[in-house]
Amino acid sequence: MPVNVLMPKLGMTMKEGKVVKWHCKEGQQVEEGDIVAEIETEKITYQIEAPISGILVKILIGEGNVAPVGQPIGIMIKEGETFDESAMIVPPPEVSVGIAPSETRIEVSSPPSDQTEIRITPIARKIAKEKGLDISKIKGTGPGGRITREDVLAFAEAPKEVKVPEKEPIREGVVGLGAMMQVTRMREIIGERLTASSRDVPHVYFACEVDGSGMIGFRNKFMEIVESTVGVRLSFNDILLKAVATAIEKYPLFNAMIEGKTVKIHKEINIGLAVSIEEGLIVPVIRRVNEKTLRQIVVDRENILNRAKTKKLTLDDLTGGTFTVSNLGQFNIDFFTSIINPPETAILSVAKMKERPVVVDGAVAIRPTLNLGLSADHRVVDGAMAAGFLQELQKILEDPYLMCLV
Amino acid sequence: MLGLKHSRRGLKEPMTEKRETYDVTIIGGGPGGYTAALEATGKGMKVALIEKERVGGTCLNRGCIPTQCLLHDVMAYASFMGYEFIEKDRQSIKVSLEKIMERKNQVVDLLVGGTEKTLLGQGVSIFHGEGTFQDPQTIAVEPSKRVIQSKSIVIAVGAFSNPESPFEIDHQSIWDTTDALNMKSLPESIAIIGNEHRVMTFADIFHYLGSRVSIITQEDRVLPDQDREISSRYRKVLKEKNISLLTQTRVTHVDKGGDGGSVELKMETKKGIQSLTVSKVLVPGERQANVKGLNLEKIGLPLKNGSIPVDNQMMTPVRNVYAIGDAIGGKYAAHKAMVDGSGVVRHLSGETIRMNYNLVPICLYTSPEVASIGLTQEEAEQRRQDVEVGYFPFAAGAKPVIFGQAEGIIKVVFEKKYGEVLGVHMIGPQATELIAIASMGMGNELSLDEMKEIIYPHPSFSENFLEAINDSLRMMKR
Repeated sequence: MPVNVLMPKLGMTMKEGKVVKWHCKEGQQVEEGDIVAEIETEKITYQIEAPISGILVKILIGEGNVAPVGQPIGIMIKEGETFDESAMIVPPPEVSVGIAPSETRIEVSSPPSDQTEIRITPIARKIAKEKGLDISKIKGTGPGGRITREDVLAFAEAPKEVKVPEKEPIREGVVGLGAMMQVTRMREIIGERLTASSRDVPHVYFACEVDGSGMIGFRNKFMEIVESTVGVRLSFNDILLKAVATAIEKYPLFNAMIEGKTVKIHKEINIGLAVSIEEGLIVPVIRRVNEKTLRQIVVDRENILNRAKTKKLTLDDLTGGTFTVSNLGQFNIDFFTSIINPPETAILSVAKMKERPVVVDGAVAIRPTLNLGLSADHRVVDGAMAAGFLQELQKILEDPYLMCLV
Repeated sequence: MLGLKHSRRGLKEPMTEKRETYDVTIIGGGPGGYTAALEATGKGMKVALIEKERVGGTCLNRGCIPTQCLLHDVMAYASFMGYEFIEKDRQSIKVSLEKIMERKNQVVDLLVGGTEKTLLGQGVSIFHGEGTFQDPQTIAVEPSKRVIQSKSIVIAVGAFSNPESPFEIDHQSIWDTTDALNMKSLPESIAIIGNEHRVMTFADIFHYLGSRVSIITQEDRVLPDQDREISSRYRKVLKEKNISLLTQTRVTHVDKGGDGGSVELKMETKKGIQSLTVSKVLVPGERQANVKGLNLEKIGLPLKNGSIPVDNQMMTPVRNVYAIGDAIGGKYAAHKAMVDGSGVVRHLSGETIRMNYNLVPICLYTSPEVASIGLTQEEAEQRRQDVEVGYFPFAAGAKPVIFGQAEGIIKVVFEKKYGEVLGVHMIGPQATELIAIASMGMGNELSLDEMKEIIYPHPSFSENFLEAINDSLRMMKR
C-alpha cells in the first residue's frame, strides 16, 4: 500500500512549509529513516525522513513549492509493490491562508502510533518498557532502522527538546581577509526574509531620546525582590518588554499584520527579542507579555534566552511574534534602526544607555540617556500614530511605575 | 637534443595511456574487497577491482581456505584411525602428504575461479596489476599502465606477516605459513611461534600428521583473547595431544647449524635460559597493513601502528579514500573484512553506518573447535551489573555422544536484569557452526527468552545451545 511522505507540523503555529530540496529522485530506493527531502519554514530548515523502507514513486511537491502541514509531498511504496498512478487520490493542494491545520489535514495511510509496527529488538523493548519510554518517538539505527538497545539508552539520556537550529560548519577557512565561506542555510533564510521586508514593506523611521534615570531607579528598587523570589536578575530587557506591551495596548495597530487587503490585529501581544547567536540572528518570542507580571516576564525571558544559548529552542519558541525588540545596549552604539521582521508592523531598536549632557529646567545636567529607533510599516500606521506610540513608550520608560496603572 | 626527444615522448604518453572512470575502485580482491565489489555493483555502481595476484586474498590463496582444507583432511584421517568399530591394520594405513596437498590446491583453484567468475558476472572490471595512487582519485595500474579515475577508492590490501625478532624467514628451516602450506615433506619436529589462532591451527595439522609440536609464546596463557575457562580447557587439550606449550618464553637466539639442518633455539623462560632443537620453526608473524607500492605518501596518508587509520564510516583522513579489512587492523578475520566491505558500500550509497565489532565471532577450527562472540565473563563483570553464566557440557548431549565428540562446553554470559546475552563461548564439536546461532541472536538483541522460544531440531548439536540457554534461565531465577 502506498505511504505518503507528509509535510510535518513542526510547531503550533506552523501552517505550511516549502520543499527546498529532494534528496532522492522518483524511483529511487530508500531505507526507512533516510533523509528524503529538506523543507523550510519561516524559521528553520528540517530534514524529512522516509517513513518506510521502499521506493519513492512520486514527488508531489517539487523543489521550491509550498505545501500545507499534513499534505503529502511524496508517495512511497514498499519494494515489490506496484504503484498505480491513475488510482491515486491526491487531495488538492490547500493554499489559502487562515485555514486551521486540522481542516487541511488529510487521511494518512501509515499511522505511526501502532507499536506493533515499530521495529525494535526484544532487549530494547524490555528496556524501553521498564523506563516507561514511548518507543514511537525513538529513532532506530539498527539494521533496517530497527531500534536497538543503544538507541533506547541514548533516547533515555537525551534532552527532550527538538534541537534547532543545527549548527552548520563553515566549510572553507575561518572569517578573515581573503576567506571564502559557504553561506549557511540560516544566513540564507535571514537574507531572504530581510531582503523581502526591505523591498516590500515601506519603512518609516522615528527616533527619540529617553532619560534612563527612571528605569535605573525602578530596576534598583525591584532587583532584590525579584532575584530573591525567582532567582533571576531583573534586566532592562524585562522592563523594555513590559513597557512595549503596555504601549501596544494603547496603540493596538503596532500588534497588527497586513494580509492582502485586511489588517489583522492579534489578540496576544507576543514580543520577540532579537538575539545574536554564533550562527546568526534569531528572535525567540515571549508570549502574552501584557498579561504577565514583571516577575513572570523575567523568568520567561531567562528561560528562552537559555534555550537559545544551548540551542534547544523549538519552532514554537521562534514563531508567533507580533512585535520585535532589538537591544544593542551592550555595544557602544548611540543610535540605530532595524528592518521590520515580517509579517510584523514595527520593530524597536534600543541603543546604549550612557551619561550625556541634557537640559533640565533650563540648565545643563548630566543624565543617563538612551536613544530609541522605531521602524514601522507605513501601510499599517501613519507618522502621527507612530510618533504617538514612541512618545507613549518614552513616557513609560522615563517613569516605569506608569506600567502599574494598566 | 636528446633531452628534447625525451620530453616529447613524455608528452605523448598520456595520449596512449587508457583512462577509465569508475564510481568506486577497490584495491585488493580479498574477502573485504570482493564483498565490497559485489555489494557496490548490486547498488548500481560502476566498480573497478585491482588485484596483483589472484582474487581471494590471503584467506583464499594462502590463509583460511588452504589451511582448513589440510586440517580437514588430517582430521578425517585421525577420526578414521580413532574409530574402533572399523577394524584396520594400522601399519598399512597412512595419510598421503602429496595427495592432501594436491587436493588443497584443487580446492583453492576451484574457489578462486568461482570468485573471479562471480565478480566478472556481476560486472566488476578486474584489473590485474599493482595499484599506485597518483592522487586521491586516480590510480595507476602497473605494469599495464592503465589509469583509473574514481569518485571513491577503497583500500582493501589486507596485511602481510612480519616475523618477530630474532627470526628471519629463510624458507628452508625457518618457515612462514605459506612454506608450511606447501611443504614437500613432513618435519619430524616443529616449533611454532606465537599464540593466536593460526598457531593453534598449524599445531593441529602438524600434530595429526605426526610431527612433534612445540608452541612457544611470550604470553602467560594459551588463547589470551578467549574466556579464561575456554583457554584453560584448551591448555588441557594441548597436553592430551602431547603438544608442548611453552608460555612466558621468548626466543633470544636461533642457531641453524645443527645436524641434518636442525635448528637450535635459545629461550628465556621463567626457569632461566633453556634450549630446544627442532627440525623446523614456523613463524606466522605479526600482521601489518600491506601498503607497499600503494604510494600512500603521495596522497598524504600515514599509517598508524602499522594500519591505515579510518573513522567510523571507514573513511581515511583523505577524503573519498576508504580502507577496510586487515589493512585497518582490529580483529584479523575474513568475515570482519566482509562486514567492512559491505559497510563501506552502504556508506557510499548514502547511509550512515555503525560498525559493531563487538559481535565479530572468533573461530578456531582445530579439534576441538573453539568459537566465541561478545564479552568474556571477565569483561562482562567489569562492564555490566549482575552478570551470570549458564553452561552446557557436550557430554550430556545426544548427538555429541553419538559422534564420539562429547568433550567441551557451551558457556553463556548474560546480564540478569533483562536476560541480555553478552557473550557466548564454546569449545567442542561444531562450535564454529553453533556460534552463528549466537551471532544471529545477539546481533538482533534477542534476550534469553526469545532464544529459548525458537525450535531446535533433535537430535542436533544446535539443541545443546538451547540447553545452555535453559541453564542460563535457571540461573536468572536464582
